[in-house]
Amino acid sequence: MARETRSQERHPTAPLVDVYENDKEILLIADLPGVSKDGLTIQADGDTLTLEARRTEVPLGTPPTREYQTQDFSRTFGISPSIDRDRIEAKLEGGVLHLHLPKRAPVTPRKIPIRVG
Amino acid sequence: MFGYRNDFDRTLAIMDQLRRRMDRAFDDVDRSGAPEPATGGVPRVRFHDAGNAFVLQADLPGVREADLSLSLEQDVLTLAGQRRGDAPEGYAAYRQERAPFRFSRSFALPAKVDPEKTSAVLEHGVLTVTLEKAPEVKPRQIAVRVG
Repeated sequence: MARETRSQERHPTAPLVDVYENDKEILLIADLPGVSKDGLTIQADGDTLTLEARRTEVPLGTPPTREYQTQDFSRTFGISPSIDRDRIEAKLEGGVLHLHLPKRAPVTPRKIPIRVG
Repeated sequence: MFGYRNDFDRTLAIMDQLRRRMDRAFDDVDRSGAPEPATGGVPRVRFHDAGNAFVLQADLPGVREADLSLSLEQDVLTLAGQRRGDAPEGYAAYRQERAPFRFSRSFALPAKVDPEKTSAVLEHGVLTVTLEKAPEVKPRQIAVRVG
């Protein structure tokens, strides 16, 4: 797939995140200002989780001053095998992503009956 | 040697020093490519001259509309607000990079604007303020006549 030259010039920055856990899930909250649903890709691959987000650019005149460039976001996290990849849920609101990573039901040890021969 | 004549001069000198220090700080930020946190304690802004209007954009992820205030006094625009803490109940925190914050920033506009024709939109955590320039400072096309 051909990528526009401009996107290669834009170095992605790591978004700020909070990570929480309870007995049901891991909750990851990330600041993604300027990112809409269409610009966000979340990928769980093996033991890594990758967030990639493109900012929606607002076409404007030439910026005479700027404190920052509108950078895209990218960050990779390690995830435990106990996370159920099929039930990951994401909610994006007001530039903040809530990513729910549910834990699999704990494996209950199986008792093996011993028969006396 | 040049000495400070009075308190007023000294104040100006201090302000000048401060300004130089600020300029250096922004130079550091502008160095693209280096990873940097997306949001600091104060919102970062972009300021554009779009011809007929000035456009100011600020990154405000997780800031509610009700917690924002925007005021225009003469040619000074002040943006103030806060982001409340959003830590969920009943969870243990492993990593907390996103802090709640309060801020207030003022910007001296480079030209007169029409206070009646300003608008502000908060979308995807980015505030965009559009300030239409006063008619007398809007760019004008000047026709060139062949004499």
